[in-house]
Amino acid sequence: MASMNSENIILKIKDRKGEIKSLPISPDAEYNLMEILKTFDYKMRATCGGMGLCADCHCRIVEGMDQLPEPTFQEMETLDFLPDSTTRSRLSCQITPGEHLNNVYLELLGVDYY
Amino acid sequence: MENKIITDICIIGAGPVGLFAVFEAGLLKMRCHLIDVLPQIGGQLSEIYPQKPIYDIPGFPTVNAQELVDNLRQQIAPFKPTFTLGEKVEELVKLDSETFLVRTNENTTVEAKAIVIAGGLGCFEPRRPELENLAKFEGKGITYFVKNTEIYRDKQVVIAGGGDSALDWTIFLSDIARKVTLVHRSESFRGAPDSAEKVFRLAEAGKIDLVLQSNVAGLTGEDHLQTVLLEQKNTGTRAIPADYFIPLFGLTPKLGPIADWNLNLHNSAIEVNTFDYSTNVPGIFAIGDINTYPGKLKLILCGFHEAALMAQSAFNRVYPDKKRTFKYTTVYGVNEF
Repeated sequence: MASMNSENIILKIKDRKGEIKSLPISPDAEYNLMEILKTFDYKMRATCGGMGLCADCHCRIVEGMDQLPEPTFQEMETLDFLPDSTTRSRLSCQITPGEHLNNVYLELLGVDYY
Repeated sequence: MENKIITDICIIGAGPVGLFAVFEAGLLKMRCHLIDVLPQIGGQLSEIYPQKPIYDIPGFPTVNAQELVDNLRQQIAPFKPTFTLGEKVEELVKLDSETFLVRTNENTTVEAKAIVIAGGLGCFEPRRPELENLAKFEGKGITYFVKNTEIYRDKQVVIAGGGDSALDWTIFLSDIARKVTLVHRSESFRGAPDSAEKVFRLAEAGKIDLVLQSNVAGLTGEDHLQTVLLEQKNTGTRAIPADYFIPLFGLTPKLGPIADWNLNLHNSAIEVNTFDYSTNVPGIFAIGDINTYPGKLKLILCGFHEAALMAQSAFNRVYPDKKRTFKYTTVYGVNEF
């Protein structure tokens, strides 16, 4: 498989108003997807700061669920707690950046985003 | 019955920054009363991540969140702060040009010369499921906290959630209620294995109804809740009679009534003057994660700095006729009162 450079990692995102954009993502820019989204000015309150505890960064993976790294126990525990969690739910703060994000399509949820 | 407290500074929020504000105020001989909606001090450190290590507190290469709270409690003890915990601030009024009055939902009142809002990201409130009619039945069958367990005696209770509190209350109420139904969206519980084991045993023994892979999808009733509609992954929807529905989905911070106090806000944070972290209302200060200013960083250590500067300015309100002198603790120590 040909190696992928940062220029061709594209993440598709639907914001809380329904607007859809495709973003070029650098695989080593930030610690996690929640922080990456913040750099694109998506509002992220992140009460817990990225520990997978508060679910402010709750998102729904519309496409590409299978290519993402498995959720940690902590992420599963927090998702279990959410009333609006589904089988396509993830916490963006627990998703590491990398090639697995290419062509992923996610929808931002999280009622409390700032 | 009204519980009336008179103090120098009323601090709203007993997280780390609110606690440290007691120390800085105490050095200037100002007494503090703290109010927090949570039943314990420590704010999100105690509520959300008590066992997580923090690495950016000066002088502590690493400190657990709860340990930091315990240390702060010890540090402020000489200044004998008083606390109202488990109550929510609902009202703030100005009694005269010098005095404010704060009132909680339990009718505790605090009179103070200065108000310090150290409310973090807001007041922790139960996370509510998105259900039509939810607000209609709040207080009429829907409760988010179990306080008086006797109201559930011989009643039909539906609990939703998969965390420790959902498990614990299911176990506890199984001895009191006529019927307890626990509804959980997945098929296993990740919290406390002992409690989960007990819940499965109660279900096997027929003492509770355990409905897994399900969600509460609707609520019906006239003046009081009567039916909860359950949506199950494999079997579809069904209605079960319920006198009470207790959704236990954890807590999330909300700005709450602070939004109505005529303070200048930006993205749910209070704008302050970095000279002394005062708000646009004289006598009201905001420190810690709840404030905003150019360059703001939501860090505990920044909140500590803000508390120190706030106290210098609050002194002028508490003691308008006294001259403030700046004192180092290394020279004068900590003089308790």
